[in-house]
Amino acid sequence: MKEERRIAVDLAERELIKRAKRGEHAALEEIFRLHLDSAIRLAYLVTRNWATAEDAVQEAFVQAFRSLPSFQEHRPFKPWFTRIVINKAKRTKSKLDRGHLPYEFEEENPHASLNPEGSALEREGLDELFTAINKLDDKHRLPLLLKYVAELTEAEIAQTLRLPQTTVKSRLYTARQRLKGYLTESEGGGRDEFR
Amino acid sequence: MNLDERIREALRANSQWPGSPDELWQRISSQLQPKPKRSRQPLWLGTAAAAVLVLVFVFQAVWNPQPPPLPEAEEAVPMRMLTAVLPPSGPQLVQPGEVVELTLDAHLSSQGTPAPPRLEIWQEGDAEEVLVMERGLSGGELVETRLLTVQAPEEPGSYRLVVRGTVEEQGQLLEIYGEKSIVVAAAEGS
Repeated sequence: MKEERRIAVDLAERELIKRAKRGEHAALEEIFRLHLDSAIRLAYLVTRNWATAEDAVQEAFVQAFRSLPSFQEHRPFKPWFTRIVINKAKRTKSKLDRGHLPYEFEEENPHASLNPEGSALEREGLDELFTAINKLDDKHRLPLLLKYVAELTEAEIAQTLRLPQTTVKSRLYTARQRLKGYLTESEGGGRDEFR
Repeated sequence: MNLDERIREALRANSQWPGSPDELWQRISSQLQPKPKRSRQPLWLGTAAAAVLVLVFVFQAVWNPQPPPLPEAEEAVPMRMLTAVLPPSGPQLVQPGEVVELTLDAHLSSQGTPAPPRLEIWQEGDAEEVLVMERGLSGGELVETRLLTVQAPEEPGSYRLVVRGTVEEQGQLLEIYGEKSIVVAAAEGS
């Protein structure tokens, strides 16, 4: 059932890309709206700054749309586009780190953890987990973001990061193990470390 | 909640975009507006011109089969000089972030339409090239030196650096062009 749904989505995406290649503005906008959420969240989680993330995503969409004529329709769009987003976000972040851009770094997310229905304890737990994710090195953090934010499969993550699939599998495993370790330590009394 | 759900939720809760999709789309959409295209000669015209040239050479060879007189020995051009000025073939291997020099050609523009000079960096993928960087350049410096120094990308891979556009020099519009292929080596320890 899941596979059938995926095939249907792929076919719809190919049709959309065909239309976009023909220059249909509405098709470009549809692609933008389909991929915006994961793109902007990914860019933010890489740059930790919304203005920078918006710039990176804007550049990524413009580049992707300009390169569409050479894009092969049989290839999945999302890993290709996600790679562009990641590259743009990393590049903008490195400019930020070198002080070439006049943005405030590490801004607080104004909407972070706004979930009125969740209990305070639950929110605290999620914030601790988020802090733990940010403590992972890029090598392990990036595959994690691609899996849980961009919802890519291991094969697609491998394609996006140009790594062997076995490497991706092992990095995801290690990342999850480390997070489990953080959580166990946190729940076992070492909470202060992650606040 | 299991670990997968907790990770997903922790990331979702901490990455809720406060911006507006409509505004962002407007910005992207305005960048995608087609630029006025240069008038191009039709393809058949170039093909026809090439065919005429080939025919001229063929008829010349048929009607005038005598080999051209050999040049005098002292007039022969030493081949070593030619090879010395030829650019190295194949892509240049560089380190991430290394500064690469790009030699530029400049000649009088035949189009007469000014186009601001720009640098494009294309990454060569498995089946296609992806434009990874594009930026405008200042014309004055390019005209003076005919040389551009470019910082190689940090990410390992094959790239093609292209400089194109027009610059004005003493009231004349010059077309500049430069191209170089590089391979960025993987950084040590990665």
